[in-house]
Amino acid sequence: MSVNLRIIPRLDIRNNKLIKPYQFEGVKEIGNPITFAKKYFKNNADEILIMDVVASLYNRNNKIDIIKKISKEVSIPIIVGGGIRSLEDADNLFKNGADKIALNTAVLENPNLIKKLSNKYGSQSIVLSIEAKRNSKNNYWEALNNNGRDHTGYEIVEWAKKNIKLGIGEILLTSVDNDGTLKGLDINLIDYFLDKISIPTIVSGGMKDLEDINKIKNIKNLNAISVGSLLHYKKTNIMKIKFHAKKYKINVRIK
Amino acid sequence: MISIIDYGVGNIFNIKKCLNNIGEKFIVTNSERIINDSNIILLPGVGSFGYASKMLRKTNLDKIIKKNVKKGKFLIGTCVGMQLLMDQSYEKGIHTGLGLISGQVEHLKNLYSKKNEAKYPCIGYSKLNFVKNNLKIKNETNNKCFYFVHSYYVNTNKKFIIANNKYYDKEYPAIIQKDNIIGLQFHFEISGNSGQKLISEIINYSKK
Amino acid sequence: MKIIKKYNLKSYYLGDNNPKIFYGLPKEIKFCLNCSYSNQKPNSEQEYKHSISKKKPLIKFDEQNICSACKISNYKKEIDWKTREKELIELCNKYRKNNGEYDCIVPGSGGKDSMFASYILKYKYKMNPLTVTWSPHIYTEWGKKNFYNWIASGFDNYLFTPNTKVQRLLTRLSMENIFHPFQPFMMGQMYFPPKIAIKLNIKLVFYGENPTDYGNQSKEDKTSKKNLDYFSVKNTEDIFISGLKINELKKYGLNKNDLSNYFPPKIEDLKKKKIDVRYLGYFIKWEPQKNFYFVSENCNFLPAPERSVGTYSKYSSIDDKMDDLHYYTTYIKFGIGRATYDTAQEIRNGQLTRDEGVKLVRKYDGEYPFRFEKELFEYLSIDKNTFGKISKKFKDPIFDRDYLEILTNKFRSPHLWYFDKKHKKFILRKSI
Repeated sequence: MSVNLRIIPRLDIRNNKLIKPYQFEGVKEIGNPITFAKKYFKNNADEILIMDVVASLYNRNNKIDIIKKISKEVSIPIIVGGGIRSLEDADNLFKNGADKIALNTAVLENPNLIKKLSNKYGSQSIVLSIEAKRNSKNNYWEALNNNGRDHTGYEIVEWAKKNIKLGIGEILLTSVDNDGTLKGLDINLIDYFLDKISIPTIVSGGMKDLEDINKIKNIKNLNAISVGSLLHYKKTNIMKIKFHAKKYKINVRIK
Repeated sequence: MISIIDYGVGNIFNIKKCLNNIGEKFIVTNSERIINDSNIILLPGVGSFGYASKMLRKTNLDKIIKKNVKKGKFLIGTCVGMQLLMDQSYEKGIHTGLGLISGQVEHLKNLYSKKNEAKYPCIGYSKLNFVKNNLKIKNETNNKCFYFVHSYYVNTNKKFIIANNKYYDKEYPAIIQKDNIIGLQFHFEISGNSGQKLISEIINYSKK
Repeated sequence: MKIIKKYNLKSYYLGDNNPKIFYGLPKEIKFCLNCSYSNQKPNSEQEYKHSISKKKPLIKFDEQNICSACKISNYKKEIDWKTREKELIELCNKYRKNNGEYDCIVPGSGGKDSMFASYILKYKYKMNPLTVTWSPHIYTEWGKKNFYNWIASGFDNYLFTPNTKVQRLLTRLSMENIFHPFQPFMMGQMYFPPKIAIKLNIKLVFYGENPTDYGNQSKEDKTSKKNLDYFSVKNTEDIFISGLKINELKKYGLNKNDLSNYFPPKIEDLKKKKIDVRYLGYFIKWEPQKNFYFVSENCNFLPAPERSVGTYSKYSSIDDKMDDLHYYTTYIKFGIGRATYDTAQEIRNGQLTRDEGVKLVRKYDGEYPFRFEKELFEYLSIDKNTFGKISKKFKDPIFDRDYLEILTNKFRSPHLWYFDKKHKKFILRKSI
């Protein structure tokens, strides 16, 4: 692997506030997203992931202002997701600081949207956000949408492959079961998914502590990890995560 | 004065922010007169080559850029902007580029054997392997990481290559140069402080 | 549409300025300016008095169109919770046994509120609670898991599961008579904790939030005590279950053995044993979403893997499949569905703006209970195999979608609904 493992802080926002849901439920406020983004950038974050967790629920898009403000404070890539359902939504975000956009809910109703977006902006700017929920009865992971509220009926690899054909360039794979819980990255999920998918994937959900790095060090082609609670609740910081990764001979970018 | 070419393609927001941070004066323009008046031209670009080159032709900017390059103005092309310097690209068909440096744009997978595990697009930070240092980039800058996000690469003559990027077990050009034409495959504007330093040094080189 | 022809659609004309009004609801439909409640929202009552002819106690709106629940919520912002906590500590000190015996009862089913209550009573206030559960009609898969996780996080639990045949029959009768599938369950569930308290001699019973938080009349918000009138009766002849009197229920083969679990305790028994019923929500600022986070982190509570029918929420009241039908019936009778209840609470607690709440109500309120439809219909069907000759007492013993539709249209108040001839469906005259 020659690109470095990226550590990407995940900022879930609602109404310009940084929040932290638990298993994709709840809107507990943490603070000012701009302050946090700035802090993470200074602490060597590789990218910033900003997800508006209620945009698809309310059919609205009011995050331009906050994206603009965060973008002014950082000079690393910004991924923005949440309620993107048209070319216009995407245009607006790219014009105001987004480098990549993440989609989920709109894609089910409108598969053509991915094609249109990737034709205009290039597939490398289009991220598919997969909310993976374990269905223990049937022993597979299902892709949810509407922020973990509704079913798509698709198994995650099937859903990913379908959209890769349509032109996505990257995947954000979040474990709904572990997100917000600090119980550890879902290694089974990551293992299962990564070796079946041919495009870079950011894994997210539940990172518990530095020892999670040890657990993932042997997973081939792990491109990036997105971290939320572990950073927001100040249990560790990005530099510590990176130094730890270096210890385990994982290449990371250190300023 | 730097002219940033506005042709409806490219993340100008971040480039403007970056140049502001390093105190460089610039103007975002598609006006022939303004471009003729500037000494450095920055050609950004994201998305598909075909769309970008179509837009350049549609706006006549392709002719304006070539004219100015002939006059000796410095041209810095980044990401798709670098790819546009080539003769043609094979991204989703065959599309014509500016032909300012001979070479073509091909999919990364052409570099690798079928068994290779490389994933496309290439997304992430990578250190550059400098082959020569004609651009006089400082040591402390050229051993930093820069952000790549692309599926196509520039296949050109070795003599134009300043630095390569190694992805899995193969290399491809990350910085190219032919006289007053410079190409950067990565996004300097979102590569943190290192990106800022690098573009600053390249601009300084172009000014001399 | 043969089904709709059975009903007098004349009552549901759009242009009718004086439509009939069911349930004693107010004629003019108003919405609270602060939350998402309408003035058609019924408050809880003494369930054993609940019959179709009775006028429903209603939420109050003031001259500024603010509902009583919002007023209570505002008033709560001024409360000195430290003082209230002191009162709780004194109360606990009074009842704490410290000898291995239970010193309080916490009713619940493994939802976030009972988990929260039992957890802090045990670990913060050092009580020895016995948790008691009146089994849901049909546990959801995740509800069951949460129930076990609750016990696993350190509590003894007394689970009472009523005779399913009786509960099914009563639930069906309740649908027929008052279009309220939860009514018998509510009686069983409400009367069980005080009765157990009497039997086991555990004087202190802790409920969670005070119903005044949801609009009940405010006499109750100034005290932590739950009015014993809610669950006691002087005379069993006065009792209605499923909208029927006891001697009417005999017709369906239900005798005292079957029904005694649904009877409230006698008030003399409660007084003799000095049963003391309190709302924990008086002593602690009760914020459901905060409780959700707390029990997720401390008791392994898991939100549902999908939003509940009729709402966006995944953490509120997720253990009984019958909920889906229940909120459908409240939507039909009062124009108020599950999303209204959930958003109203979250607006008051700051997790939603009113604007967001309104969007959610418009999106989800009144959603048809598709997901567990089959199971719920089976539950409500009085089939010959299980019920023998009682099955014959019902003109339509098998409950299915068509029958639900017939029943539904009997209970729509014409002042809330009109029939759209073009699209052939009922529409609310006034929505939020």
